[in-house]
Amino acid sequence: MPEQRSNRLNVLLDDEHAAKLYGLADRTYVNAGTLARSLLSIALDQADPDPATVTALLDAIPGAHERARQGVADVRAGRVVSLDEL
Amino acid sequence: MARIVVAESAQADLNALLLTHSLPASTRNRVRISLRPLATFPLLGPTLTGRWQGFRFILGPWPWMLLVYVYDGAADQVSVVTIQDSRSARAATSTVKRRMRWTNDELFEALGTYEQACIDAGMRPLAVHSYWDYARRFLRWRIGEYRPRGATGSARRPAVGPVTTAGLAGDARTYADDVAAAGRQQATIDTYLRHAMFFVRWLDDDFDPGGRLTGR
Repeated sequence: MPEQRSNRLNVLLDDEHAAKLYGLADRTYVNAGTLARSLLSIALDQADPDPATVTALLDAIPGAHERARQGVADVRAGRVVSLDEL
Repeated sequence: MARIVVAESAQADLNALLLTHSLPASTRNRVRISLRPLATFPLLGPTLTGRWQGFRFILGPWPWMLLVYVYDGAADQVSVVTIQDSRSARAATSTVKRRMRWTNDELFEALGTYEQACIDAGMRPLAVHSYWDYARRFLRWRIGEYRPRGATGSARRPAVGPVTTAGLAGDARTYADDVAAAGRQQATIDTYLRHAMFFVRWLDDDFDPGGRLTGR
């Protein structure tokens, strides 16, 4: 049987993001919870684009697959930079 | 926490985008921010299919920016292997678009998307407005709502029916003639024509505002 999941979630923000949320809520005169729900929905939509569409897009970019394979070769050869060095 | 690394070739991809798209100085940091969640959730990016099997992706700071990565579970390492502009995917759509016929309403609607493309490319507000405004003037000229100040001769008969981008390109040349007849200097005429053609080429997926031009 599929698990019944509630649409109600408890989310704990770190200090920085909580301050950001309240700052935005104050500026837009919107309840922080309402704003958080809206922002989370947007973030979820952006975080989960359709992979089939993106695959088709990447296939249609000249040289993209070759670049990805070059990237894999770079990783295997240790030709990488850390995120902070980007 | 997974380690995140960027392949040197992917770093070069980003460097190229910075140059060709005139992206803001904050871009590298914004890319870092987009990638950071992968340290905690390395499987966050959906898996790609077909010949891209084994690759995952997330969107970068702009929705057009695709950050393609692989995750090595044994090493707990996320490796960004390429960074691509999804709007460069022309091959599949260009031919179809060139055959499309645009109504006046559709052209004016497309102006909004054009403006957004300029914004997404990281162009400065003044430049965005300029690109939008030149394109809008051209469209308004086509339907007889705008004429360059000082234009002589009879006004253009408003374009009514749907038009292909080839038809629009022809109209752009007539538009330039009208601007010339209004006594503008050659540099100004060129600017009007160039911007009208930017918009037409963008409709064809042949031009990225703020980015590189492709030959045609």
